[in-house]
Amino acid sequence: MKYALKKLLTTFVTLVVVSLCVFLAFNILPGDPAVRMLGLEASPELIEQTREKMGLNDPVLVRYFRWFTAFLHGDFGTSYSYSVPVAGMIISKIPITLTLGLLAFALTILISIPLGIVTAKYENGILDRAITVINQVIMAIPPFFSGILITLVFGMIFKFFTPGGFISYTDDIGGFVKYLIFPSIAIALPKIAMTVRMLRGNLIDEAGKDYARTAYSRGNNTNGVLYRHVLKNAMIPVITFLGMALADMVAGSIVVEQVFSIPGISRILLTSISNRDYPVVEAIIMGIAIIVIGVNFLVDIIYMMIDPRIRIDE
Amino acid sequence: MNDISLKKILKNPYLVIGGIIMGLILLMIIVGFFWMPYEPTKMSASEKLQGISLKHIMGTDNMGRDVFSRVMYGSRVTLMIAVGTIIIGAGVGTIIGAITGYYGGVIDEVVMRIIDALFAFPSILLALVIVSVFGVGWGQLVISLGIAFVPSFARIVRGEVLRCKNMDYIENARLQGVSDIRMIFVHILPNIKGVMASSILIGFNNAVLAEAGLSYLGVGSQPPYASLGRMLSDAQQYMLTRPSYVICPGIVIVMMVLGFAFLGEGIKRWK
Amino acid sequence: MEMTDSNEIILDVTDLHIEFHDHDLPETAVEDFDLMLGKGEIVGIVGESGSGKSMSALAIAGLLNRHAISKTGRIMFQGHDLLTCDRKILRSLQGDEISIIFQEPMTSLNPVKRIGWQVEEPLYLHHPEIKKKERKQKAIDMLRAVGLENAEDVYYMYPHELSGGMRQRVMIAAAMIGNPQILIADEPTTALDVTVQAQIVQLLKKINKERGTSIIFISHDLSLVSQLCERVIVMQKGNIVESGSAAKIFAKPMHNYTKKLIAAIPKIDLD
Repeated sequence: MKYALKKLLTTFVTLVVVSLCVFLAFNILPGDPAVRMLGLEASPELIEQTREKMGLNDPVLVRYFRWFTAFLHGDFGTSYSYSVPVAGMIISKIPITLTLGLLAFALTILISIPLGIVTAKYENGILDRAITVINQVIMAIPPFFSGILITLVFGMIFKFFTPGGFISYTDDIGGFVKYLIFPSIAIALPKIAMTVRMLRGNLIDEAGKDYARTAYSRGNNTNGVLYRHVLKNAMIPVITFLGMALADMVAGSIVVEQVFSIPGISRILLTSISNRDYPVVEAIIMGIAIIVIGVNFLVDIIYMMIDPRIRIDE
Repeated sequence: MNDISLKKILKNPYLVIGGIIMGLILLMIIVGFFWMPYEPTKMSASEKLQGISLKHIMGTDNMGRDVFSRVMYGSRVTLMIAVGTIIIGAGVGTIIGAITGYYGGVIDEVVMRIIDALFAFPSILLALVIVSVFGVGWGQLVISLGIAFVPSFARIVRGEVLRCKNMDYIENARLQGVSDIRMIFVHILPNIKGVMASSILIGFNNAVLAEAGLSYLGVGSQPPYASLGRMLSDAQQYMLTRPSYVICPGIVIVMMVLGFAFLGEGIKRWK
Repeated sequence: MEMTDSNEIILDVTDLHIEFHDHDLPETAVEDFDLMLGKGEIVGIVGESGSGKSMSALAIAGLLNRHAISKTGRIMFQGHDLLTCDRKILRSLQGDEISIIFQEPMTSLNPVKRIGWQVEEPLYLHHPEIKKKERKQKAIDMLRAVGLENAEDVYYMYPHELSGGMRQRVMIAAAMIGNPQILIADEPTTALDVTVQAQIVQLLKKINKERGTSIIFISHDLSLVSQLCERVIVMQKGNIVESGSAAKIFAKPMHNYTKKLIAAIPKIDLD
């Protein structure tokens, strides 16, 4: 339990560090938000008034603290470009991006773990060699390019889905998930390749260790050694990797959303970046940061459950 | 890492394949400095979206520009952005990693906590934050990606420095009163060149992927001088009418990434 | 081959040859190895590292199954030739009738499984008719029998919570829980410090006396072997150079190599 508490504390510290970095990054910028909101023609008095109202005259740390506590309460500020609350702009988009990332994550786990086991079990067999080569190539294909190829082949030639025909989750949950399947494949492909490679390598390493020989000496067959002994040990580093992969896939969905014209977080983020609508960018980045940090905390907890050594070592 | 002979290189299939791929790409880029089949920005209303032919070996785009010439130019842009990224990322990362690893203590705790937080953060997002701060353009892209690549290099170098720090010959050098800076740069860093070489190649691999992704999103190099990623985003809407326009630049990206990946893997397996 | 007055032969190894095919030329690890093991007997196999003693032991335990290893000869046990019999038959004997403990207690246990689970495993595999509760009781009894006082607590612990000597006791408990005919101890004390070494040897003696288990004790340490074994086989470079009663060999070694081993005893003890 001490370990979990310690991890919770470091998670919170990381959250503060990251949020401070994000806040400072957007607050050391040249240009006055008040001027940006009111336009260059506004009178100096009005600008000064607005600055006071927006709290821009306070010290940076005070502003950070106000912003951070407001953020934790769900108040993400007001968009410069549209003068509406940021929360309202992004809240309906979050389920789309999140579903896409989670679908890709589920695909990664469902495909890569069995494949990793099979390739390790039949090390240097035909399947293993073939998958090793395919893995190398897949890792070299950026998700947006595989997305384009998938759109071309499965969307336009075989017509398994209608490119651009996104269906909102508010209209039809089934259609919504169905449309997201192909994009999630594009996001998942390189992660699947990496996970297979990593799990295969770990399994082979672990199977060569002394405790695996002990397991054989007790009368286990290959499957017994693999599933009862080696797999759990080999999964420990894979879990860390999958945690980072989940964060990466949520971020990777930004690019793939563009390919499949999915109206998720991506479009708002990109327009806000080009419009320099910082409160929106800040909120989205912080949102993803919270997901990333949360996932890392979960990974640590799973770690604690799977690896008994951690409970004492740290 | 010591005896580098041609025979040993040829025995390593990863180095051979990676070398051939990168050799061809570099050849294409270098030739492109002196000669290209067409001016990459020259438009031709009568030759829009043509297929693969002897005249245009990768066809033409929606403005009648020769895709092969644009690929030659785009590869140059992509590679240069990757080089810039690695110079910044590996340079700053090595310094941070060496200092934190060598001195340890409070600096190490604080800096590594920040580095760890950034490392967990997807690099494409980190680059997007920085681009949104510095603005859009290829110079900004190099800085953004470079900063986004610092954490991974810092972690690798720090780990290696920690590993080397307690070795006997370092202890000896310390007893002889070698200065800290000399110790780091003359005694420790040359020792980890094998690890550095493969990390840098893997870094190139990731830099090309990240550059392509960001340019695809439109925050990288700007038209008409487009990188490969940018070409793909322009080409996407014509993918059914003229697939070669999308597929050719895409394959060049894949080959570039593959080439770096193979070279990196080859060095990792170098015994 | 010299015989003891033991009445019943339970293991008969004849003409065992082991060859490795990992490199271009096959390497002979064991040549013309013969061993008859009587019921309740303790036989020692001594030799330097690379003498083939551990290879012979692993072959008897059925653990040399890599494709790159070829084995000829016969290992007869309960009417089966362990070298040629069906893998299923071999597996049904492993851990139940023939058990083995290893040199490295630190790494021979699975780091992520509880001690109890690991000690019970042979029962789980070979005697599924035994209920879970009974299995646990047997495991705790066994842990106590190998000298772990707080057996109930140890049952729920993980390997990293135990010292090397305790882990070796756990290995012995797991090896003995099926009450095997033969226990092979492959340098079980080499990794332990001297006082713990003596305790483990005492434990093996006790097991042999109380349960009548035959033991093959492998060591490079002649003095240890002479404490425990009635009969000794001396091996060098894959061959048996001398065998006979321990007292005789110790008092009057015939072979030069044996003399050298005896002379080297204090030196060997140091490491």
